[in-house]
Amino acid sequence: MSISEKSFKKAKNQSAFLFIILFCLLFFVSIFMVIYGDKIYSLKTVFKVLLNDEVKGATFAITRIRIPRMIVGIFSGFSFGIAGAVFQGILKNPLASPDVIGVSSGTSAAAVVSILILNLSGIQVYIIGIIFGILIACFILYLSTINGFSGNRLVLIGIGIQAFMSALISFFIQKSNEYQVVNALRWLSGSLNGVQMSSALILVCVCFVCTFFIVALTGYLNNLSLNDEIAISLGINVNFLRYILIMISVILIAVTTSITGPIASVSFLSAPIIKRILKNSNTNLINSGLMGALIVCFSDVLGQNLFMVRYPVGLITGFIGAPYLLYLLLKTGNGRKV
Amino acid sequence: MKFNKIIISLLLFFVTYFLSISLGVRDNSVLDVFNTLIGNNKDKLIYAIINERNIRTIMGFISGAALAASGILMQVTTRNPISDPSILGVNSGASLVVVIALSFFGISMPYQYIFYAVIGAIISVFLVFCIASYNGGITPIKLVLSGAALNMIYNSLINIILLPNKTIINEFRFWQIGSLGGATLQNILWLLPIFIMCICISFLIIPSLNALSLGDEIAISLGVNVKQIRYISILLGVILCGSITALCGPITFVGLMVPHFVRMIWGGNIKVLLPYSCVFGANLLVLCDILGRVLGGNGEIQVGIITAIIGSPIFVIVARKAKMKSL
Repeated sequence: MSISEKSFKKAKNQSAFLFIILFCLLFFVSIFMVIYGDKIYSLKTVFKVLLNDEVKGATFAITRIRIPRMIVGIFSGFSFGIAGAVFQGILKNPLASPDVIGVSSGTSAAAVVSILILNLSGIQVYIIGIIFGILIACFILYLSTINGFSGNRLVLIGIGIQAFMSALISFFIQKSNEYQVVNALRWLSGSLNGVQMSSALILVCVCFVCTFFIVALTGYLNNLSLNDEIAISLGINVNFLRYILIMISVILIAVTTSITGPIASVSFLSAPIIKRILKNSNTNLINSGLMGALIVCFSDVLGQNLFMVRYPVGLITGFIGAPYLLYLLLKTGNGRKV
Repeated sequence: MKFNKIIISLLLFFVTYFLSISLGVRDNSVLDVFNTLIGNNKDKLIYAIINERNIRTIMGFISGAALAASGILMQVTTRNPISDPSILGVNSGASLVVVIALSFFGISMPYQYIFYAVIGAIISVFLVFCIASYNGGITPIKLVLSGAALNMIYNSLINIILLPNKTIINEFRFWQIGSLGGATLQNILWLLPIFIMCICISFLIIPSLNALSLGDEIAISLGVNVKQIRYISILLGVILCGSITALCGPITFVGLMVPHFVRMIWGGNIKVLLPYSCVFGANLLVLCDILGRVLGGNGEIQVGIITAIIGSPIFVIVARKAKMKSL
């Protein structure tokens, strides 16, 4: 066995090991999410409820509130994490994640308009969100490529677009009824409150399908990128595949955002954490996704239980993410790209 | 030429003022407005409305001018087209300190608001420059990103402090998005001396600022104390923007778009740029406020939302045009 093969195998083992650890952690946090709350139910009660036994009070709380919340928490985190990893991997810029460059808030604005102004619900909201998310992503890419592409320009333009979108969200919330002002926070900072089982199921399906395509395409791209000549001789347009990959991630982000609102920082935190742990420069998609899920669930537990008041999860993740952003800035020197 | 500019400015003020007084939830006819202004009006309701709008409009003029001036001062000192107090997080920082003072020290007077906001603004300017210059020199992108990150932190902290208090959810929105709705005569009286003082000092240092915009070496050879001028003008910008934030909440993007607009028409000479940016900033803010009142129907859209909707595309355009090198 050659040395490179050995190190490759070692890396693979490491990432599998990390996968197991993350999975176990996520499992514990999600069980905690179901058990712990205003009222603490024992594991026994939870099992009873899951086996369709009627337990007074507990059945409603667990099946209608806590389980959907847990599922949405896990899968929204997973989607944000994996989509962020794709963005960062393709655009080669640690800041180019969907929430920093405004794709999330764009989708969120579309969702706000379709729910509050057009009075739509369900599948229509997702479709509008997806279309709008893709349009925003194309628009940002288009704007940043006009005078020659640069990652920094992309990020700057993204920040501008994001400010615009948040202003739009505020605008439409102000235009709608007074009692919906409380809902505003959900669209401005992302929250798991009031999610329903039906939307949770949609999220799970979309998440699985998109993840499958993302992982498959990325593997294919990685193989190709080893040898551009082969790709050219096979007549495969590598850049086109990259665009497709970004579009799939945008779809994932759009569906998730139209359910939870933009949960800040998850998509730009997850992949770098995994990279740091594995000391490996390759993006590790599944682990990034799991990390995202862990961040969201853990932040939600913190936001719900640690303080006197219940804070939406987006606030907590934003609070976790901002110092990392600062760290990134402090670390980058003048000569290196941000 | 100079004469033309002055006439344009006066006309602009005149039109904006009339529009602002007559438009809103209840539209007043031109005749009513005119009658009230010359003191011929018997209708108490119209009188009250016009009085209220008067205060609001004057507050808008002052805030707009102050924000535009603050934007110019920051852009010139950092020689960076995208520096603007709101993008550097100065507004939100001021907001945060006021919110902290409100909930923990129980402040109530306008001068206390202004005091704490200015302190907050100074701290956040200091922070943002420290972070952006930590490793190598300050570049526009690093400055903006540090501002964005700090903005994120400030906003989460404001949320965390204010969210527990469900009763003040409306006030809570006030500290996230600026509005002229809360303007009172007392506020204006406190604000006016600070505003006039800062603007006067800025006019006095115009020659030095012009030299500074040519580059540090040239400025030094022209006999300008570069460091001193930098500190003075940043301090002025911070005080201007902080005191506005104290009374109106964070109003974004005015300091970015107005100077760019004026520079486009009349060139980059600060002697022209500063006064006319103040004029246009004042009018722009009041016009945005009118727009918010008209679009808002029975409520009103805060002026901060409108300025952000108009200003962020301009930010994007500026960012797009910026040379690759400077990024």
